Amino acid sequence: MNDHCRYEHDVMHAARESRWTEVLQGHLASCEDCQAAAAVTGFMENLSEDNARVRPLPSASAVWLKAQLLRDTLAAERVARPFTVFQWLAYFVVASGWAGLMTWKWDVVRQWMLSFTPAHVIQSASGLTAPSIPLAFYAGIVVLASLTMFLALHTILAEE
Amino acid sequence: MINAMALPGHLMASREASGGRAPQKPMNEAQFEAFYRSTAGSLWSYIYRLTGNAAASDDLLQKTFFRFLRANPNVESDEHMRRYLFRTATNLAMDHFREAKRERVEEQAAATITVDYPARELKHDFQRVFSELKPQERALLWLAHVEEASHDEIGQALGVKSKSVRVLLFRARRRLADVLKNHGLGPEVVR
Repeated sequence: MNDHCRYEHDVMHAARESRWTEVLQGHLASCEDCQAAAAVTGFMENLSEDNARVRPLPSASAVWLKAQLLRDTLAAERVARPFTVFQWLAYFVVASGWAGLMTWKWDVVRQWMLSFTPAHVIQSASGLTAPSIPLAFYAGIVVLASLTMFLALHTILAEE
Repeated sequence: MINAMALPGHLMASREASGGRAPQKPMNEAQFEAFYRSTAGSLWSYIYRLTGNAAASDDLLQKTFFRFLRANPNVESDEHMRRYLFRTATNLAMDHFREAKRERVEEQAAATITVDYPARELKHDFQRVFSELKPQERALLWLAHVEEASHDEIGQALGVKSKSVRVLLFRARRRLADVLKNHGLGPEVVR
C-alpha cells in the first residue's frame, strides 16, 4: 500500500527546478499534500544551501579514537563491576559483623570501657576485678579487625 | 544537493562485490573514515537544523558516531547504518531538548531570566524562521526535503509509523507555510 502521493518527489523536484509539466500542474491543483510540499520546497532548498558551519567537523580519526577509548572504558567498567559489587558486599558484611559483635556483648564492652575510668582503675588495683570477657569475643574482634584492615588497604590500593 | 540517505559509493561497491550478501564483520578504521566523510556533513546539518546550536551539534554528532561504533555495525547493512545514524541523532537531539528545557525551567525558578535556547546562536534568518517550528516538524521537513528520505525512512528515524508520516509531514508543511507567510516569505518570494 502506498502511504504517500506518488507525485510527491516529482512535485518537489519541479518546485526546486521551477520546471512544471502539465501533468504535474494538473495534479498539483487537486492534491493538498503536493500543494503543501511545493509551498515549502523553495524555502527548504535555500535553508539546505545556507551553510551554517563556521568551523570544520571533528576529524574522523579523532572520533574513531575517542570511540575506542570510550569503548575500552566501558569494557573496563563492565569487567570491574563484579569486583565492585563484591567490595560493597564485603563492606556490608564487615559492618554487620562489628554491629553484631557489639550488640551481642554490649554490656561487657560497656563495662570494659568503664574500666578505664580512675574509679575502676583504683578498684582493680585493690583486687576487685572486672567481669571476664569470653575468648570468642576477642577472636571475633581479631577477625573483624583483620578484615577491616584488609578492606581498607584493598580500597586504598585499588584507587591508587 | 547531497542525498545522505543514499548508499555511500564504497559501501555499494563492497556490497556488489560480495554479491549482495552481507559478511558479518565489524567496521574497521578505514571503512569508518570513508563512511564518516560521506555522512558527517549532512548529519551535522540535520542536527544543527534541529538544535540551532553549532557547539551542541558538534557534540551530538560525535555522540551519534560513538553510539554507532559501539553498536558494532555490519559494514554491508547500509540501510541499517543510515537509519541507525539518523534515528540516533534524532533521539539525541530530542534528549538535548528535554535537558535544555529542564535547565531552562530550573533557571527560571532560580531567577526570572528567560532564555530562548534555539535563538541563542542563530545567525541566519532562514534558521530563525525554521526554529519557530517544533523539533519534530523540523526533523520531518529536513529529512523529506533535504535528505529526500522516504516516508518509511522518516518513520524509522523519528520512531513513528510510516503511515503517520504523511499526516505529520502535511501538518509540518502547512505550519512552515504559515510561518513563512507571517514573515512575508511566501513561496513565490522564496523561490
